[in-house]
Amino acid sequence: MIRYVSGRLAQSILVMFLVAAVAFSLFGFVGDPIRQMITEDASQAEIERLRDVMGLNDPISIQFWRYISGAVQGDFGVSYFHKRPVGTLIAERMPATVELAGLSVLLSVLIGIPLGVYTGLNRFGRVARGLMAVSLIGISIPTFLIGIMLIYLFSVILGWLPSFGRGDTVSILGGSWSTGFLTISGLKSLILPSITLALFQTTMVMRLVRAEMLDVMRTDYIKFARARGLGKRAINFRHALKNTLMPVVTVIGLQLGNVIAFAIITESVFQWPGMGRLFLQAIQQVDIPVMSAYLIMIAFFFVIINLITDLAYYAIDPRLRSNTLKGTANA
Amino acid sequence: MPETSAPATLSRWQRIRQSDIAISFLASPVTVAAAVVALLMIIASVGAAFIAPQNPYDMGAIDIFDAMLPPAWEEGGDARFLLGTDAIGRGILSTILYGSRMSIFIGLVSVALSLLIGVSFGLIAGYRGGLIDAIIMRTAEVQLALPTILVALLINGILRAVAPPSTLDNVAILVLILSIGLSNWVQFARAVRASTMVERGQEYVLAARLIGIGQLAIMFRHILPNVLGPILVIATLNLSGAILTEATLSFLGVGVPPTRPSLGTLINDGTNFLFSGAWWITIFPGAALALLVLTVNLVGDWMRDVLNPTLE
Repeated sequence: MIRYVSGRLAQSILVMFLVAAVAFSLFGFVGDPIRQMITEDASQAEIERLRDVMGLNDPISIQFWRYISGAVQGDFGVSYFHKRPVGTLIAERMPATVELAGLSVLLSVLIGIPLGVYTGLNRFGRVARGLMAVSLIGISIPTFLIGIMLIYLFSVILGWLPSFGRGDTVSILGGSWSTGFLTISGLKSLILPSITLALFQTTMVMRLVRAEMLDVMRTDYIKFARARGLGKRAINFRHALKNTLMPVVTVIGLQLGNVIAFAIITESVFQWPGMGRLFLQAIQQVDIPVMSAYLIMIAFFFVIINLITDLAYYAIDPRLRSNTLKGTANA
Repeated sequence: MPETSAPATLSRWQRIRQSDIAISFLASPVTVAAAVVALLMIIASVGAAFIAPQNPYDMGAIDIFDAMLPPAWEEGGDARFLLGTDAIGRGILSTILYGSRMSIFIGLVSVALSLLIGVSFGLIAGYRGGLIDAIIMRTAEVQLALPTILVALLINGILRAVAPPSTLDNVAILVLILSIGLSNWVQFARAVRASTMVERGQEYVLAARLIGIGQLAIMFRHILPNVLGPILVIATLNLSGAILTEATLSFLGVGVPPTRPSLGTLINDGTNFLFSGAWWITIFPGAALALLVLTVNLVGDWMRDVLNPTLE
């Protein structure tokens, strides 16, 4: 157990170290940062002093070490474009993205699983086949286009919902978190972006649950449950659905990465003040500190998710533990 | 002997008609329709310069007084512009034709790049094994765990940081192709590596080694033709993905320069006029993009089912 966990931890730390190295090396591409900070008439001595103060004359290894130890404490330097600390910028934008992504994952689970069960059980039904066709079209329409069409329908034609921004937000948790869940305009602003972001995930979840249901319904224990005379409801939900959920949960976990990626697009369509838009602006402006910080944060997020998934497998699947239980290996 | 020679008298066309692939193709009307639509769109975009009613990038041909016209069948529409015009008087039909030419071009070139990288890496990893294999496949796994669009955005950002700002517009298309191509090679590499590992143990490879043929020649002249089977399917499926990624990047403003727009750029431009009710500037390029991606996807799905049912 300890060996398995520590092995996985060591791998994760190695990956984070490599990503940090890539992120740090980005700084080397933009040339001398001093030139962007000084005025035209700065003397050579002043430039040298500034270089010394900023530590740019130190060896690369020491600069890298300084960058890593700063990053661990949430200090990613100062944005070239916003002229403010990157850590502060990210902390400001994080609530918007987390609320949007969280709500859409919730939506995709709440809608996708029932639809998947339905289409799996009524494989040849007209409604189920219609849903499958719609889901194929849904996969082919890019996220940004769906967002635009929703805006056109609900904001421009019907005028029901706002088309951009978060609406009014309320500061909670001592001002460190701004939430849109507590005001009417905040909630209304959440509807269109979260549907846009949830749509692709919903079709994924639906198709996956359907495929799993089709597999499970063919297994012997379902036939046996039928033979025992169990009711349809008990078979479908107690026996079948339960066994489809394990892979579904795994995929949803791994899909969180997709949610982050598509959040960039959704935030851009709806001018949502989140981290995705911050990153996109950084790419457009070649704002290296923000890009590096985002890269490290994304990698950290992925490493944590993978670590949790692996450890959950270890906890759930006894076969992974079998090599530590000598003598009972051939189960 | 007339009986035995009878099959040989079938014309080439008849033989094609009676092959398994053609029969399965014609048995699926959705696939036939998708293939026809996809082919028509590709032909129309390649011949954009001849088909388009106007050249939208010829400043002399466009007239600002034609700006913001609705589609021809709506009130105020103009018969010269079937799908209406945009804010500077370019016909939407013409911009769509030229835009999809750009989208399809970038899609094809970046898939070709992914194919080149993926097949080479897959061959080397599968044939050499050991440390090289481990490095290539670990990299592939990490990249596979990240969404394509995120990888493409990151590569795009890094390339933009590397390229001097003054040359950015000129290299924008190259940056775009590189970022899409580099984010999609993994599937090719995995498929080629798996079949290379099988081929490596075959007798013809041993024979080639015995007569002293070099490693590179064995990999690319002898093994390569035998592992190309699944490549066509993966390439077709990746083409729709590459077109989508290109459109998304261009929509996000990190794609093609505005002077040479693709479908994604056109959609992005159009969103500024959505609130004034000019829906056609956005919706028609969007529909063209969705139709293109959907039909290529359908053809790719069918190819996967018929040619390589084992691919995921």
